[in-house]
Amino acid sequence: MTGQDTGISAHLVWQLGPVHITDTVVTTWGIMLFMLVAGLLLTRNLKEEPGPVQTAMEGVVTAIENAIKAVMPEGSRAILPFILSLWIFLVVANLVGVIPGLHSPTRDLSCTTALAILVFLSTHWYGIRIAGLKNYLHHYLTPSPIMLPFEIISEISRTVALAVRLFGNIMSMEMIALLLLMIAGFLVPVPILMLHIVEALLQAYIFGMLALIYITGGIQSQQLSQQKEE
Amino acid sequence: MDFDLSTFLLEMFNFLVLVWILKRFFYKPVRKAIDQRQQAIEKSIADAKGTQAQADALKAQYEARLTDWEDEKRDARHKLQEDMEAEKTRQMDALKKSLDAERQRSAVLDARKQEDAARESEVTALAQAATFAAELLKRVSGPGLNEKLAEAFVEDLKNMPADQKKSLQKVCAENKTAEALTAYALEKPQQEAVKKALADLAGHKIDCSFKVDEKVIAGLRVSIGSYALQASVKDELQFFARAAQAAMPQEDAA
Repeated sequence: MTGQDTGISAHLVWQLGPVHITDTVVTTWGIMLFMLVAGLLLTRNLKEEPGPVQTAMEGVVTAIENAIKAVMPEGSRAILPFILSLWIFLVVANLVGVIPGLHSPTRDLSCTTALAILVFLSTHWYGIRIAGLKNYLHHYLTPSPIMLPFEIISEISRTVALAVRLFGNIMSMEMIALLLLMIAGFLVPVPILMLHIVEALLQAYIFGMLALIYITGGIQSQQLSQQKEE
Repeated sequence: MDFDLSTFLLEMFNFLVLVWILKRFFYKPVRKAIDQRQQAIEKSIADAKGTQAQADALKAQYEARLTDWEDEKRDARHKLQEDMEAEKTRQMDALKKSLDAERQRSAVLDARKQEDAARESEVTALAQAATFAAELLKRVSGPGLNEKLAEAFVEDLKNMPADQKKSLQKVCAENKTAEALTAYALEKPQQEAVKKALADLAGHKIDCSFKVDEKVIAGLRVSIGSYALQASVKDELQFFARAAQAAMPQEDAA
């Protein structure tokens, strides 16, 4: 299932029956453990007058909140944990590839597809929570049932694009760095690694912002439909 | 570009777990700290607004009180000015009355002084007139005038009013002697005429002695007991002066 070993593809680490534990999953667990420990340590002693670390954490939360509020002024708190987790995970996961010996989980199509599917499901989950299943599904038939196939194609294509865009960018950056390291030597890939950092942050931002737009689009379309009906 | 279903499912599960971890151990504590600080800030702002409102209310109250004070001050000043004007008017009236009274008193005093001066002048004039008259009569008097006054004395005794005659007779009844002072010695007939007139008046003989006194100027003065019959120039001048002095108070009273 892991395919040919190019040094970039996911490696099988452990197998338990039909369950394959790849380095993507292991790295993700490592990131999760890191975030758990960091969360426990950093939020253990929060004060009313914050220090530099607490200020940075609060800055991250506030910045993400403001970004969500800019897109969806009302009800931003409901989707904030999901978007925040998505952004933080993607930033860390994309940048893990810069560390020698480690690979970004997002250079694995399975990981990016999982994230894209989660975004896809979240869009419908939040939409159904607001409007109910019947009303939510009804909006696919408006203004005309003819639009239904196009709506379905749109949902699938944007989910696929979400997954492939992130996978392609991160995988290509890692491959370029690997090729340059193989061809040119020790220090030549350094500029490419710097570009990798920029690309990692940019792709995390794009993925998270698109996810935010898709989710808020689903929620706001329902809110608009309800307002029209009222 | 491999796709592994196990990785796909595990990544989905992992991410959901990560969402829970970040929500539980990162987002909620940080959000709580932010909310607490936000509440503290809002409380501070609310307190500050409350303090501001209280300050505004106090300011408005003090401004209103200040306005009241200004009004009271203006009223008090107005009342004070009115009182001062009234007091000034009252004092001016009192002063005017006092001045009028003083002026009247002064006028009365001036009039009295003028009257006194006039009276003194009159008295002086009378005294001088009496002196001048006495000096003049001294110069023009002589035995002839003396005799004429003696004759006039005898004539007056004869024509004396009844009430005077009665009182004189009463005095003569108690006194049998009389003393006659003359400026010049009378002739014997004239002395007898005087004695006869006195005897006729008294109803009995009067023993009359004649003496010469130049102070009499002219004429004679006869004394019977406490009664004096005057027909001399000096007595007439004195009578004139007394009559003039007696007449002056009567003029003041008028």
